[in-house]
Amino acid sequence: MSSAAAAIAVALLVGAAVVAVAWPFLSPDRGRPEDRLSEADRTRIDLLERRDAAYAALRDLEQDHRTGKVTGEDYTAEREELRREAAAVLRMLDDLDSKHDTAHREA
Amino acid sequence: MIARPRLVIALAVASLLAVFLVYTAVAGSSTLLVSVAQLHDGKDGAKTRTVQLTGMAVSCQGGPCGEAQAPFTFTLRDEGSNLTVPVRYTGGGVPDAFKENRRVIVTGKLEGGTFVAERDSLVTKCPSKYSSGGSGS
Amino acid sequence: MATVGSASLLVAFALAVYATLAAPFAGLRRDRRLTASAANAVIASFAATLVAAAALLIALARHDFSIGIVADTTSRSLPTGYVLSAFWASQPGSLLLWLTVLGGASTVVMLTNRHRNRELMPWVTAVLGGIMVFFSAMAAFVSPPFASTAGGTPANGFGLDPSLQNPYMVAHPPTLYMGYVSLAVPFAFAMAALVTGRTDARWLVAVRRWTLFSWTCLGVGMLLGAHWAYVEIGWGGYWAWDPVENAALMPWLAATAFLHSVMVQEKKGMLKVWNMVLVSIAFSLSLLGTFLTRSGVVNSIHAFVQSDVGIYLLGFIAVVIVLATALIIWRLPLLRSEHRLESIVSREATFLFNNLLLLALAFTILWGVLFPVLSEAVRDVRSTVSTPYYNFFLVAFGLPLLLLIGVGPLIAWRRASLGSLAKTFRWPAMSALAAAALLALLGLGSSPAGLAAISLCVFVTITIGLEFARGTAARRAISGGSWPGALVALIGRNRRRYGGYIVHLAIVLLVLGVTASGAYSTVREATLSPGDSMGVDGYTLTFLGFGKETGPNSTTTLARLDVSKGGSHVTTLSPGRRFYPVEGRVTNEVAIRTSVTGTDLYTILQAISADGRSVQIKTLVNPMVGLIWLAGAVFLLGALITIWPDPREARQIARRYAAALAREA
Repeated sequence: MSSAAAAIAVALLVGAAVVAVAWPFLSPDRGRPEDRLSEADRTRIDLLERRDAAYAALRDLEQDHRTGKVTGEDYTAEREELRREAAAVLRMLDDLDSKHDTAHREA
Repeated sequence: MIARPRLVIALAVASLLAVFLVYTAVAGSSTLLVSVAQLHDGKDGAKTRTVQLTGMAVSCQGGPCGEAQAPFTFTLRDEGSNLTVPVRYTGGGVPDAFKENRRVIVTGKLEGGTFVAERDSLVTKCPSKYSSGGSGS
Repeated sequence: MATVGSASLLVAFALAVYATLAAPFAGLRRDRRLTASAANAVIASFAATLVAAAALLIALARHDFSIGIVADTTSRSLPTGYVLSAFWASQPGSLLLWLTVLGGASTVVMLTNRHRNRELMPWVTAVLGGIMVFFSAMAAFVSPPFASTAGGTPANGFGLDPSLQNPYMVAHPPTLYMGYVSLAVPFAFAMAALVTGRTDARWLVAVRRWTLFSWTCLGVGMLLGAHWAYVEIGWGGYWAWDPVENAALMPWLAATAFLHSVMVQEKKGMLKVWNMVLVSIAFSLSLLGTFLTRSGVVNSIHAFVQSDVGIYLLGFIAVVIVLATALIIWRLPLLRSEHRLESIVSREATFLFNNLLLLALAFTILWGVLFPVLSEAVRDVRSTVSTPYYNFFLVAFGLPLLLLIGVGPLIAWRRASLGSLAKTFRWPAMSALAAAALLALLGLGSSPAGLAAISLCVFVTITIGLEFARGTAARRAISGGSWPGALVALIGRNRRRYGGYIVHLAIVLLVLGVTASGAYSTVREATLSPGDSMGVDGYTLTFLGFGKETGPNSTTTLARLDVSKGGSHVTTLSPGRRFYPVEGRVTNEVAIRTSVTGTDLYTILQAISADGRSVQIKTLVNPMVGLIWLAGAVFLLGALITIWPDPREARQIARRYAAALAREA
């Protein structure tokens, strides 16, 4: 490869790199819809995640129970604990929703 | 339930450590690793014990080293000085990479002026100039 | 080409420096644009590295012997495939491969996290950027791939070492590298979690697939290397506890511990400190492995030339360890568990013992690898340990681990009652004991460790089988359908669990293969003239005479052996010695016959007598060694099932966001 061609290739590479690095500052801040979510919404998504995780844990427990790994008292105790956790998350979700509704109504 | 969990964990860690220490103390399966110069010096009883000897293979009796078959004798040279020692490889496989000017490791004992290497103990280090067997990593 | 390559590496270095400096600012100021800019810099750095890699490939393909590593590792007569794979056959080339894989992994992380893990990403970018700075600096300044050939351009290159001209040696380094390098991603997320104080299970979920991917690549990479050693190096074995083999095994063991330990944090919020420590150890061991094979510090058949890279790598490892330790200690209060270990007989405890055993094994191997250096520092004389040392600890720590593989999945969380345990383990335990008795009667008691290992394998196999059976029955009870259908549905709905069980089955196969071929193999050597026979383990091998084979750059002298068992002909094996005139080398070409049970009859032509009439043949019978390679395939299958994205999971995530976005509108 001749020196001229090499120089051009490298110059192109450097140019592309500079553009890539500067782009976020130059382009209009379109952003995806996810970026415009508020703190409350993010908290809500967090809580939904925790709720889904709690449900998944309960499902796993059922599976373990059906296959005989957890029985009797152990099963009941574990199930109650997991249900309590899920209920706590659902309560937090409700609180968040009612606060949001109140805020909306006042606005 | 049976015993307090923290105690059992501590006991488990202690027993793993104990297994390690007892083994290394009792079995003592380490072998001395010496260079040709250290062998000549008799370092740490190297002249009378079974040791692992390292050096550069410089020439082989009866033809090119690359074609050598056991049993054969070759000259091993120290990498730091010009000291050499004849090595008699008594039998076993010769590694594919074995050739002149390659670093090797052999296990054996010095008898008379010759280092007698155990069967199948010849290991050839891959050369620095070339690619290595097992490259990568 | 060399100019473009070298310049690209400089650009890659500069971009990595920018990313490493900009990202922490972006994190502290919560500046999204700066974060995006740093992420783009990482991606651009990778692009520049790709240009350098392409330049090297083109130089190789064009036989540009003015470049040092092209001249050192290829020649005009070398087949094209090996010319290109010589990319990673030299030290500078392999460093460039490390950098390229690192860039690729980092790019994937940047792209898949554009809108996720917003708090963590600036710091993830900073850590990954920092690692890229180091390796690009090595490639650009310390061990440049495009350095000119010393002494001018030769007419032809020196050629590739014949033992590397093998498909396995082409696949083995890249696979291993993907494993080593991708451990940087979980490490980066861990450090980010510590810096931001977000030490809940969030970062674990982000890295679960990366860890699995890395762990799978390391495992498969090691098996590829072992298979290569078995068929190509030809001493009859597949693992020699060489430092460079151990260099891959140690991070794999730490990664195994980490992979399991995270389950406890996800479910119970425990072992948080453990997980931080484990991922740091895994990545440090990965770097250490890279160091060991570049520094010449320990004797290995794979060691590269001593170079400055070794010293710098050691320094970098020290920085990594100090940084990780400082961050963990700083955030120790945040890493307190939500729950306490309540009972020894619980799944949490099983995982904890799992961690201890795996780390203990990793550290005894590390001790063995570093022993020559340590003994020299202390007693001014080098000592080494070899196979007996490693095998002892493999058995001492491996057997309890095998037991845990069987016991772990069946113990309940928090506290298991002894009653239910007795019920669950009754059949597997009794079968294992019966198997042990049977094997002892068959004479396998010659190796107590072997007997114990095989009995434990029976135990584990039955527990896994019962898990599948019970699970399928339960699924069928709910939704009906056929047994196979229920099984598929079961695995589909619980990929992590049942994929994991399949991986455990692979480990069982591996242990069976290693145990059988290790503890119960037979070796015989004999010098044979035409017509002579030797017997090994029921087989009779008769030397028929010589043969000759000519290849593109070699001639092979073969010893034809007729193999019969119980009087009937089984096969003809022809081990040989292959002569390469250009390189002036002779290699052993072994001949192997594999039976359906995976038992190998392995023959080596060790020597031809001076008069050219008789041959020295070494024969080994390696029982069930084929199971080891089968284990690799099953391992891959299980890992794929576990990694495979679950569409339901994706739908769940989308639903969560959809609700929020709807409210936005």
